[in-house]
Amino acid sequence: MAGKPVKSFSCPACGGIVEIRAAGHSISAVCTHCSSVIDTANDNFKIIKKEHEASRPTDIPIGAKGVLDSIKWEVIGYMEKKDKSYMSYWDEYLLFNPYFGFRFLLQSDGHWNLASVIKRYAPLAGSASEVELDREKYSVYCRGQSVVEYVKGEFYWRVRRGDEDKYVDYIAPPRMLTVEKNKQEMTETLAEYLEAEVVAKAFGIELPKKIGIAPNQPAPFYGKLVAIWKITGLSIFIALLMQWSAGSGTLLATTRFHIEPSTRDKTFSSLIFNNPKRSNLFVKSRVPLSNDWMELGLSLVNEETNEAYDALQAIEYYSGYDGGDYWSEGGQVAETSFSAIPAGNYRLLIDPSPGQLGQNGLDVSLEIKRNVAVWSNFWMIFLLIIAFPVYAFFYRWYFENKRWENSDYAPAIYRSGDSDD
Amino acid sequence: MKKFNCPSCGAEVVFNSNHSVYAVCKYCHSMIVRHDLDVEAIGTMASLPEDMSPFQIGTEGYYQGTHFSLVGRMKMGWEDGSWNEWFMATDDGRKGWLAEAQGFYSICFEVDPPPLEFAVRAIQSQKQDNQFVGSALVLNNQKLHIVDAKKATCIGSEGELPLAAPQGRMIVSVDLLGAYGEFASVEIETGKLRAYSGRYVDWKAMRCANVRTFDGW
Repeated sequence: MAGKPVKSFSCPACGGIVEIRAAGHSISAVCTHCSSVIDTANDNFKIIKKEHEASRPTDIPIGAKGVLDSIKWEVIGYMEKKDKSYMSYWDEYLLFNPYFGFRFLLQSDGHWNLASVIKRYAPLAGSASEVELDREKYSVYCRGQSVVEYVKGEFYWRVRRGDEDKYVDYIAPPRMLTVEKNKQEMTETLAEYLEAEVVAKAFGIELPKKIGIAPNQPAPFYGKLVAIWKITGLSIFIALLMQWSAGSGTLLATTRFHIEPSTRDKTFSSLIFNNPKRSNLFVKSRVPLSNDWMELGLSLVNEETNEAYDALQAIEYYSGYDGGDYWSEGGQVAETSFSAIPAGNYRLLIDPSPGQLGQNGLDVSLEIKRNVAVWSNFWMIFLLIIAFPVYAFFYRWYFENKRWENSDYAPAIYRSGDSDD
Repeated sequence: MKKFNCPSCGAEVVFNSNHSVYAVCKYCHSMIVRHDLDVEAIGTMASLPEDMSPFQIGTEGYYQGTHFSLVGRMKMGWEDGSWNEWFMATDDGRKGWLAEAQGFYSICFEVDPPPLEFAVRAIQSQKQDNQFVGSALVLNNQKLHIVDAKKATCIGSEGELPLAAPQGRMIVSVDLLGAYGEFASVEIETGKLRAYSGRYVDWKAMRCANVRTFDGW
């Protein structure tokens, strides 16, 4: 048997037609025409509170349907609440689905939460500064007293403007546990933060602007921090592996020549060698100088394209005996790197410019290596790798700091700076 | 399953559950009480007020792996609204109830006989004295706390039930709640006391079939 989804009756105050969307559940309803509150627990429809005022528009209209948490909901009630001491206002929409029951859609400063009443006996909730629910710790964020400022639609309890509740909010972002107490009962509500866009999409509405950070707004990179650190660790490990596997490089060629006064202007050449893959090339020159200097003009020439990479090496070595001490300056070895040399066949041309160059001349020997590990490169990669996690860490800390700014119960680490109370 | 003819209209009245002693004829709405061998009509039941309950007689589902089907309903009213108590025929033959209030569902089985200490405490809380609210009791190895006590009246009934539920039947109902959603209730009817224990259940977890449908839902 298909049920009728909407039941209607005449308002006992103004005679207008009032619709009930959750028949059997709703025990009070606000007249759409005169805003009087009517008892709908039975068909006598007594007036709870007579009013004469047109109903106020709300961001989401009563009767709107939308899908949240993969369940279709109908908005059947709306309350505007105020905190007595903080003078902050928020909206509470009552959502109904005949199979899934009720939910609350909360809006405060443009931030949204989807909440449901939970049936758990928690005697300490409300007085404790920390409560545990489903193995998760919730920390107290706010204690206050709420007042119902405005009502619209229908409710499964007797609603009235001016109704007061003491409440305590506990947070474990993205969740918030609220404990409400009045003379009759204690209610626990579990809320989960909803992105405003999700609400806008569900109900096809324009949304109020978001202000600040909500108590249980998920922190940036929520649930991703572990992954970020894992990826960071892995990246550093891979960079190190590459560094180690490159090590001191692969020897491609060696060349050796003798230079003497008669050949001081001659240009020497290495044999053709092959660089199998794009990599850096290192040229290490060794000249057994003594109290002399030499410059080596290096030109790395690609055999196919004739493209040349030039560099200049200066070697000088001086030593002596002075005042009972031996001294030396400079060295007999020079090393030059060519970075990112494409694959291909190369020849190294060496154009020496010797200094004194004695009668016997000098033996110059060169080594050409490829893919030599460069630590400065590693450190640059390292900085790049850790830049994001470091940013994430500080941004998160800043965010948590902001979150707790509005609370009287901020954990000690987020209380720095304002030691005024 | 036992079949009788309605003493009033002659239509077939089926008692699916061995626990059932009372039924409302679906044709003439006569209230029928089952004796050992025959049945007796004790009056007529007015039709139940329309509600948005997802259940109906014949709805089937599962509770902790056991299949159940709903065979009767008692609609209870109190000063702040109403709730439904659906009587279930379960495959394991237990006396089970599915209670439906404010969009919450709980499934309970009768604890027979009701524990004495429990009964005494429940009777004390009948006085609606707030000091009993919150007091702890242990039932079926579950630690429970009294969360409320209210006077309720039967608004109407349909199908078959293990007790006579004419309109106006008055009870005091005491609800108890555990830290993990365990639920129990004690019902006090003049001279009689019944205790039920079970837990809150999710709509999805019951995997219900043959539910009511609503236009637009």
